[in-house]
Amino acid sequence: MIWKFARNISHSYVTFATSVAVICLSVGFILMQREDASYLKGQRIAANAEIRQTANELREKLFGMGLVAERLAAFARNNDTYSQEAIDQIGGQLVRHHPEVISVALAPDLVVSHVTPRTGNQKVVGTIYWQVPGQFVGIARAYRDRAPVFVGPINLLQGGRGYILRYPVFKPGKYSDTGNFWGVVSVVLAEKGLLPARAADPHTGELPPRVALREISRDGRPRQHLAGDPSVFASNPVTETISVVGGHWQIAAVPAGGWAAHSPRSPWIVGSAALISILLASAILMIRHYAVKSHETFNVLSHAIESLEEGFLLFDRDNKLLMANKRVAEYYRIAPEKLVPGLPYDEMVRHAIRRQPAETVEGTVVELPGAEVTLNAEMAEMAEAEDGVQQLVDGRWLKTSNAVTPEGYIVGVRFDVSAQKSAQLAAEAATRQQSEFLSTVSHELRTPLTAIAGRAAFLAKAGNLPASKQLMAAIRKDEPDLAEIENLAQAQIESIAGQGQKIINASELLLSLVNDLLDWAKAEGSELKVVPEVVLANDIAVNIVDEMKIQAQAKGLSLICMCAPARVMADPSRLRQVIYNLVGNAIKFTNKGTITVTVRNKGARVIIGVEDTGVGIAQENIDMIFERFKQVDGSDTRSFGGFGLGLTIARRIVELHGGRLTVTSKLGEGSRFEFDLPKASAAASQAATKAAEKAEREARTAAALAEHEADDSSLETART
Amino acid sequence: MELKRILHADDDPDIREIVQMSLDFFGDFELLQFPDGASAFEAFQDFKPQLLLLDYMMPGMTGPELWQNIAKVEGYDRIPAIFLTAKAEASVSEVLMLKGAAAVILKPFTPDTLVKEIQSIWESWNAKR
Repeated sequence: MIWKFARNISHSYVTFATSVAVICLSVGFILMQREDASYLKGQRIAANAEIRQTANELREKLFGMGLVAERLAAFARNNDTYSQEAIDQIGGQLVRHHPEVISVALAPDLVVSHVTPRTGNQKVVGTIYWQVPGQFVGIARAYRDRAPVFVGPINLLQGGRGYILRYPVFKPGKYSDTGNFWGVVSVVLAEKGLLPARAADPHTGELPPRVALREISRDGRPRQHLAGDPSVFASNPVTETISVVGGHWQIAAVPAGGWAAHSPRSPWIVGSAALISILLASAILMIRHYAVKSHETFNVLSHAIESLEEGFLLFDRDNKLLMANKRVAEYYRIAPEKLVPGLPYDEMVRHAIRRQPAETVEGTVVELPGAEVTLNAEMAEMAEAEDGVQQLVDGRWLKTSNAVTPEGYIVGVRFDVSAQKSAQLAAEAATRQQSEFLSTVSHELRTPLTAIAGRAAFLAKAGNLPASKQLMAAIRKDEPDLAEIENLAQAQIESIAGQGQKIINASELLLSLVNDLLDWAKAEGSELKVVPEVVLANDIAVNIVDEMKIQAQAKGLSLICMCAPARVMADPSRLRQVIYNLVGNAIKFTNKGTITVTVRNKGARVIIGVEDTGVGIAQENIDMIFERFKQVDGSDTRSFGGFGLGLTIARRIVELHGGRLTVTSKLGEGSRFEFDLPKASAAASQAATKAAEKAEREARTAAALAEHEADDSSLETART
Repeated sequence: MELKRILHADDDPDIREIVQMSLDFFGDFELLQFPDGASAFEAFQDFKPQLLLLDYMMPGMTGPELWQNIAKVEGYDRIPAIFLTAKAEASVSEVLMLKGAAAVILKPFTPDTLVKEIQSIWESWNAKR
């Protein structure tokens, strides 16, 4: 289980968890050792208490036994006869207080003479000690040491086993050969009376310690074992030495089950430590596992958000950034390292947004400039999680889409809709331009139409004209004056012819406008075609200059041609159209000075230019002049009529010839339009010459035939 | 009051001629014509026109500008202005009428009815005053 979690965790965390487990186990081990030591100490204290109690009881018991023996010894020394009653009285107290004392006996000359209590001890009386070897050993030692001796356990004369205190009695003046040895006073103690068995602890059920007792010499060497299990002395016992009845006794005690290696609680401590270790290690690994999982989930989410083509933002309730991707940094021009959680939204977009629709009035977007308005609107938008469009300072347009999460956070997506917006703006501009164009077309067509319709209206009602009325009056005179009539008729004819000519002029203008429109429509639809052939560009230029000289002179301008012979590959009618347009424009936009048409050879190209000393074009408007429907002056004060299509068409025609139409101009000083065409190759020129000669021959032949046919026909006529 | 003096400004000589012919043949007016707004403004006070017949789009000073300038001169603040324009957009007519123009006549106009139109506009203009 743990290793399942540990699989996706780094080695350092596994090591950390293991270390924590080991430390926990070590602490448990130390606690266990302390518990063991404490428990052992407790055991020793308990054993000590036990042997102290045992020692006290022994002291008291043996002191009593010794005291009674001493009193009986004193009684024996002081009396020669010994009444049973006196002995019963002295020994009876001891027996009453210590039921384990079996008997107290007097044995003068080592023959038992009196015993108390007598019940159960009768058969002891008369025992001669030196005849009972088992009993005599102790007596001999007491006699030898001239001190009381405690022996046992031995088989008792009255049956059973027990201990005997032999108290030697020396009586002065008697038994001088034995050192005044009178005999012994014996106090017999039941075997089980020396160290009475203790009951188990009623509360804990714990057995009492095992206790053993032995006599030791003054220097501490064991002398005789007295009671208990001798092995207790070999079991690192708790000991106490007491001095009783002239000897030294060592009491030893060990717990009933021996010294414990461990406290009964130690397994629990170790078990608990092990359990805690496992739990801690597991907890660490699990926490780390879920942290890693959580981190991985976060990473997946972050990568997913980073991969988005759109900008992604997440803000808390205080409009502070929680998350954003690099696209947002790019849109709002923020260094990626500054795009960190906690960044306030207003700070983030303050310098990035130029404008955005702040409000709408009946569906019309009102765009408000200025950082404050923009910011407020954006903040309100964020707060209300509305969608909108904002323009960045770099000109790009962002579509903003915001929503509020159930936690109250604001999640926003930013789409770059610059392309769509540009398309929309371009479409709007195109529509506007088209509308302007239609307006221009209408205006320009209406002007010649007014002239045509107006003059036609006068002609239609020619009879009502004052001149007509004068003529009719002159004719209807009683004596008509023919000279007057002729003059009036002549004036009327001239007037009508003048009106007709002006109608023709207006019609031609109208036709040229319509042709311009058609050419432009063809150019727009890529239907404008050119059929290049070898032509003399200088011939075409000279012809146009001749044609337009009158028009130029009417404005007081001189129109000249500086044209070198140049053969070009061009569609003659289209080449003529271009030069005509350029010269026409030059006349239109020049009020004084000269218009010069030039044709010159330059390598494989022929350069054709039209230069004027007219109004010129401002530098900022240079690019505009080739745009469709555009005249530099589009205002109501426009001085010059026309659609503004001429240059658009001219440029297209030049491009179809593989050339380029350019302009250089200075406002107030004049303009120079120039275009280049490919020079006709020698082979092409030769072929063209041959074709021309052939055409000429064919024409001549045809003319001769026609003449011949005409002659024949006249002959036929003559014949008839 | 009878309409006698009309000031006409138009940069197109054809239109000037047709207007002149229309007013001469079909009416009895004193007509003074100018090819641009500036020359018209310079000379109008000597002529003392009763009505302005103005082209909308002219080089230099436009028709509406000329009208505004004349109207600023004392005694001419209520002079009726009729605009002759080839601008067919309704917005142009609406703006001019909102500004107080007497009428807007769209080109091409009919010469023989021009006099009648001008007379009618003149009468209704005076009736309103």
